[in-house]
Amino acid sequence: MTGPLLDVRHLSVEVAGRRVLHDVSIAVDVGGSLGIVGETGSGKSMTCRAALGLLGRIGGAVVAGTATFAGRELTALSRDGWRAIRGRQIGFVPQTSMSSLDPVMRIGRQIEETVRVLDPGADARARSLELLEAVELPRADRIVRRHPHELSGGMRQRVMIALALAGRPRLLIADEVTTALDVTVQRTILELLGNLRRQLDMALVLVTHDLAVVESSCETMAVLYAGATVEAGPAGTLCTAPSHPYTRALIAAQPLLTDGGPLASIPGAPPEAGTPHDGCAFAPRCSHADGLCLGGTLALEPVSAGHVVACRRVREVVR
Amino acid sequence: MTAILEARAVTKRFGVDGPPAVDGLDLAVAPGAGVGIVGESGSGKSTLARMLAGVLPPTSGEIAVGGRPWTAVDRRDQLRRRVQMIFQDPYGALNPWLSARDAVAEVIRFWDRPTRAEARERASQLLADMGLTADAMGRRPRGLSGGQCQRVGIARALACAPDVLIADEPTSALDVSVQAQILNLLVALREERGLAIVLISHDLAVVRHLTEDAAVMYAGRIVERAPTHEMFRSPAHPYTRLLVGSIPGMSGGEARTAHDPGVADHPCRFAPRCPRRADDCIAVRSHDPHLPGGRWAECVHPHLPAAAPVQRTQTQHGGRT
Repeated sequence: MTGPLLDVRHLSVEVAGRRVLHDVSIAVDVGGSLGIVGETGSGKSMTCRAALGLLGRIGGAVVAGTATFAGRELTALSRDGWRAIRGRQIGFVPQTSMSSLDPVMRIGRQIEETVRVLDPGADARARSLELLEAVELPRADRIVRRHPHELSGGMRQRVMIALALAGRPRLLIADEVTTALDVTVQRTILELLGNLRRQLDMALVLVTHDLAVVESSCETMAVLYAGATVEAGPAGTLCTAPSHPYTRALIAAQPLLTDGGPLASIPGAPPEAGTPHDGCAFAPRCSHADGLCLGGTLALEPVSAGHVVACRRVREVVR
Repeated sequence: MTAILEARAVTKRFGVDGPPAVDGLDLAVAPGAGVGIVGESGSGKSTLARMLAGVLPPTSGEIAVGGRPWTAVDRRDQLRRRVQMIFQDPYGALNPWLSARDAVAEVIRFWDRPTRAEARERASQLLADMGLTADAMGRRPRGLSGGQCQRVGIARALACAPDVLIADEPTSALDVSVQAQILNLLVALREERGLAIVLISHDLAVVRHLTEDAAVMYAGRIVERAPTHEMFRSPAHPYTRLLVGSIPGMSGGEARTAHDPGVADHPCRFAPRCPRRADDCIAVRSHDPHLPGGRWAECVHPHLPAAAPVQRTQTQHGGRT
């Protein structure tokens, strides 16, 4: 197969009549790794929901754009069609491990239940031990008898990853999986995800607000702002030579460990999800914007190989 | 210079058994100082913050403000104004029924008993100094953004005219672009008002940005103290090294991963994870923590300042822990 494994183009999503995604385009190759970066309300989690066919549960629907997985159109899938994709082709690790696990059920039974649904041919007990070992949990035979509250945050996150692997997915979407974890634990979880990707030849989408996590763990990167992709390309390029004024401002606003100088803050705050706007959503906070930025339509334009930017003044910005 | 806020051999236990949350800790805050306290969840840093602010009494030891122990300071004693706190959850720290202006005026009326109109006038001025628009001042927390709520929280603290601001993870709930605004505001307040700050954070880069001195907490104890930039450039304690080396984009620092029940009661609480552990580490509590070059670490086998600094492996933007 040629072309990306997951290819989302110009996706627009409405929830209860509010347009929460305007123009999201992301792509991840077979076995590749993509980091999706954005602030609150930028549409990161909504994009995940769309890629997992979970919009219906919150009253949302795709109103424009396409999303294909391995060449298959996702936006037109029926409930049964989704059942063959969700969990089996695309695995998902949510942010909140505590509220996603059943507090009164032992870990072993929770994994076995998932295995029986997603992988009915397998020996559920043997497969759950295998999954716990795959996520590098020591003494898997003891972990299966524990309840979620008896595990640390990092261990629970590993259990969540084991659950997501139960259906042997070709793509794993991890939504802010390390946000609530300490830096030492975060490092081990990121290393685990990298190892699993290589061992299982699985693609990875890492959703985060932390640029440094993406730079150290992902090959490509997409920056979302107010429900649209504003810049996408190789992670190294975006972190060292960003083009969109928002990406540039985001990097300048990060405090550095090596330098204590004043931070270049971005005035104002990101708009709430679903706030309608004309032209570029970032224009009201942008130091490069002129009157024309507040109208018209924007498209992602290539600036170099594999690097696209949605800014009509990008040539003046990067000069 | 005498400390305005000082913890002496402070211990806090919750419940009867199990290790203490804070274990015999000393800390002094001089006027105008910037002290950062870093550590992972469960290290006791928030418990320490609440004791320093006088809202949680220690089990043993003493916290003194202006030379007097918190236990001898009455609720309405003017001394209580001198230490104020801002919180991680900017919404949860505000009364949902009060407008931003009324939330600040409430504090002014409690301490200074001015007329209602005068309190509102002073509150408006303070909120304007914090960068809030007149329109936002009339709104309740739910109508404000996270960054605006944190500005209200800071204004409430400043309404007391404090000498020390205790900030417990003040920006971890905020987006990066808004975090930078709040950090810049705190830097400006320190410069303009000579405010001392005790910053509790798991984000090493935030600590680096806002403080001159740093202390690393592990399992209720301070394991390393140093000027902030020194600490992050050449960590002396193996735990600090692990912490700094775990930041995405940094390398260096390691930990034992194998479970080792034999050292569960070790006087060095980091021993089970420590790659430098040796038999003589058992003497850690009696070992002199003062190291060459003015450094301080509670460790028998520290990395001396001459050791290779932790390396940047790439352009390092974050520093979130």
